[in-house]
Amino acid sequence: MIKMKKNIKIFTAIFISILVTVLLSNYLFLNGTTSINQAGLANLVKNIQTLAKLPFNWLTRNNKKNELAHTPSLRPTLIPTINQDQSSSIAPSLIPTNTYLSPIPSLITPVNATPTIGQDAKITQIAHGVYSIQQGNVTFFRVNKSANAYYKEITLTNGTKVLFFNYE
Amino acid sequence: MKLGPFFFDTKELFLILLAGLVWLARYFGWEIPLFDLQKLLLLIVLFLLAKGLLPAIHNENFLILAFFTLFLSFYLVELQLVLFFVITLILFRFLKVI
Repeated sequence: MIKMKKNIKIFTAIFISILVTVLLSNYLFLNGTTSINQAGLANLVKNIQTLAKLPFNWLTRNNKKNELAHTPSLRPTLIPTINQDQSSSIAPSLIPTNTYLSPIPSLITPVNATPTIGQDAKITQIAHGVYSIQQGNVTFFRVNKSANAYYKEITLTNGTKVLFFNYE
Repeated sequence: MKLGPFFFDTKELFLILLAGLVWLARYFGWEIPLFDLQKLLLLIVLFLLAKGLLPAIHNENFLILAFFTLFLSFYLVELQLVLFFVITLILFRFLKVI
């Protein structure tokens, strides 16, 4: 019985650590490197603040009044938000000068410039289902899905390159 | 085995032997299916460090943690592996497993 209790403790600890590790690294770090993801951190704080403000009424369970709780935009998200200006989550030195990361895919009209993998950008698999997109030696983002379907590079009319990430 | 002021038990000797083998595999470019040699080297260093600091009475818990970390290396990147290892050790301490 004592042995079983100890084993339960061990596996609980391991299970919790896996959850915490994945959550922490999703929020705080980019590409599994040690650079802190400022936008992810800001997003985490914002989500906690939003959750703290939600008017949950657990005692009366009167959820009809709690419309805020059902607003989809207030749900916490694991995807770090990226601003279109270069003061975003990624250190400025990592972003090529003529490249922008698109925060809202719908704002940009896609053109027929979807590159094939290995042609315009080098895509490396970091771990199962995690890809890193690199140009030269610079790594500037990763996608969490199959690389073929979720990455597009778009060249705008003024020559600006936009890296388009299609999250789902 | 006693080397100067240090005493190495069997598991530590095997870990050191494994580190040598992994280093050789990296040097000669041999590939181990499913495992990344750089991650393996990192894990071996972590294991040796933890093994050196933990009393022998906790060997069994350490072995379970080591196996989990090893198999998680298929999916997680280096930083996440280190995070997992450290967080689990802290949780073990909090839950009074070690």
